[in-house]
Amino acid sequence: MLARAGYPLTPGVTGADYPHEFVVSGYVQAQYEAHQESEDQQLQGGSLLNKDRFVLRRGRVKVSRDWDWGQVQLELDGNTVRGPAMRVQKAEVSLLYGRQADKDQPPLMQLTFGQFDLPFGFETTYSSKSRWFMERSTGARALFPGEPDVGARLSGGIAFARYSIAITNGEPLDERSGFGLQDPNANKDITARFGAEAKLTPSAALAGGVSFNRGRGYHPGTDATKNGLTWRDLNENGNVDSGEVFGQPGTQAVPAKTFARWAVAADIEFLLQTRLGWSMLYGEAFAASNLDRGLLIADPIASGANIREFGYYIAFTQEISRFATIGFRYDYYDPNSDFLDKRAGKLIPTSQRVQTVSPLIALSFPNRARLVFEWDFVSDYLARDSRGVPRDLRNNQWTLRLQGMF
Amino acid sequence: MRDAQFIEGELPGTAPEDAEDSDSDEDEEDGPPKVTAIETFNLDVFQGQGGKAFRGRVSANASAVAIALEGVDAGYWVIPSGSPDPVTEELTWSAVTDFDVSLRTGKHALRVVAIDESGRAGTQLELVLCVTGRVPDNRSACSPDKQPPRAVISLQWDVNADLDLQVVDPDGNVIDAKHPYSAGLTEDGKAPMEGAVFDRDSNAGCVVDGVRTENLVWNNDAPEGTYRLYVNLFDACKQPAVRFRVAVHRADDDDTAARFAKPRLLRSGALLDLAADTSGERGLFVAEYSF
Repeated sequence: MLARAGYPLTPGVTGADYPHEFVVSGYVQAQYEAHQESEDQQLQGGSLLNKDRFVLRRGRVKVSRDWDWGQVQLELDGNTVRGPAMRVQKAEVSLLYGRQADKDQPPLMQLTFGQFDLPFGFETTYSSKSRWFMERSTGARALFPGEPDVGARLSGGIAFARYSIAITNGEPLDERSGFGLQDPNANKDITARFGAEAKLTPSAALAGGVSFNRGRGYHPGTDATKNGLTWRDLNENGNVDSGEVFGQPGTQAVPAKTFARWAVAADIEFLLQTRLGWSMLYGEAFAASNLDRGLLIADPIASGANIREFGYYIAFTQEISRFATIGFRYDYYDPNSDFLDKRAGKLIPTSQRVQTVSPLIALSFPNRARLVFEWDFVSDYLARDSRGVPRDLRNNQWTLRLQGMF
Repeated sequence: MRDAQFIEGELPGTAPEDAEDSDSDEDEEDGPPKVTAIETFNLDVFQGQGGKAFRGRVSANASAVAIALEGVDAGYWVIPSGSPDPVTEELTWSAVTDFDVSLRTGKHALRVVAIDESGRAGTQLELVLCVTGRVPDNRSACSPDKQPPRAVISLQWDVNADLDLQVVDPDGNVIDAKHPYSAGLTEDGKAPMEGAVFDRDSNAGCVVDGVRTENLVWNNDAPEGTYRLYVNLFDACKQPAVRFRVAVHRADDDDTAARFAKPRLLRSGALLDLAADTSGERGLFVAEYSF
């Protein structure tokens, strides 16, 4: 019911009547996006500040092959988000036990090795192809910059219960430490979701779950340096004068360190089919420690204290006939609940929270194409006013996306 | 300005010239916040200079300082005030600034004003900076009593390649970065007091200095005759192409800095990386100029 309607709450294998052949599917999401903070400039180092542009956000092709006892999936992604890139999005091989006749019902047990989406909360595993909103919420993207990681997973479902436990390297795709999909430490992260999914009536479904992630982050060491000379233009006259050349003694290498990090989350989803079409109401809340890997990177070794994150979102989409949908999402993310801003020589507890309100409107041709317009009103404290007090940075954005599926 | 917030609009607070008229004995604690000190190592700024530091103090009721530079009329920068000064108990502030290469040469007033938590701004304090250009002018743009050089041939370019200005004087002598004195060295190997001198070999050997300017400067009258000007791409430094301009600036006895700044000859061009030549031969012929 849900898979056919385009709302697959449980991603994974097909039901017992699987196709006995290769299945090729895919989708393309191409868009124009405009950002208030865009400038025709570059950052130090060359990163572009212009964000008003056409983007191939996702161009994905998935090939899968099913057997009674197993499944292989390979999904490639091409995009131009940070320049042209082609990469493996998912590569999974699974052994299965107990396929169910219902396509919305996972097998009793599925053991997967490879690169797969981490089972944390709802958004991380919810397909980008099915999601109406352009991107996952701010907090979900901060904790898990990319959905997939490399490892092993045991998942499945019995009646209404759902479970998924994964052991992974702990450095998901797109994480900004530079170790994405690698593993700089021997520790493996454990991520799990335990939930339930019930079809209350033929036209209503309710699902929910609790999740956790536990692992260790990595603070890289530094190389040893040789002796050297440094010139400091102390009198700022542009000339090398007496007393401005300093010896720079060599320094020792600094060993890397690791640190503990964790997150817990709870999510709930409700689907209802009326004469108007499908309605979907869902939300999620999480608390975490040292797990921001995408927005304001959490590194307690550098900061000297654990960094607590907190966030939640609530989203609603409503089909209006089969050919139009409207949606609304509010999300809240605080990347550091203990942030202290330095003003007038004092450390003042200050919020760093980011709130985003995202209305959208979409036209669709079911299972073939979507034209979606979304406006993101972002409220944060990334700028300062004339008193030196943090205030909202003007960084709202809108996106017009055309998606085609096969 | 690094780590500062740019805000569009006019600098808040009372301008120094207005404050002198309306000076009153306001209570130190209840009065508007004050900038009590601005410090910097010197008042000279060259176009494109990076990392120039300013620091100072504000009264204890200031939550931030706002800083504006005359000639940059789009807005001002805000920096939160910092920790208290242990001696005066006033709050400190510091700013690290970069100056655009297109900033007009001459005097510019840097104005700083303190702002308290209610948004009330005090009286602006002013520091007059002298912005000098990439073409040496002996600071004549800031001090009318100083004379600019008699002549400068200037080469400027747009990317970090190693480009060299070469000038052949009427006697056929080559003056370039390897032969930086038109009169040659004195008998005891020192720089001569007269004649033209090169100011620098910019980006030499692809060691990037970011200046991308070379000047041949005559502080005395240049010998009469026709000079031929060449530009040689010594090393493209992995750049696909470089665009350049060559200008000749002159000053007669009564010329002002503004007149000196207007080039008497201006030629521009471009060189592809294929044109890189390390042989020491003449580069691309650009122009002839007669003194």
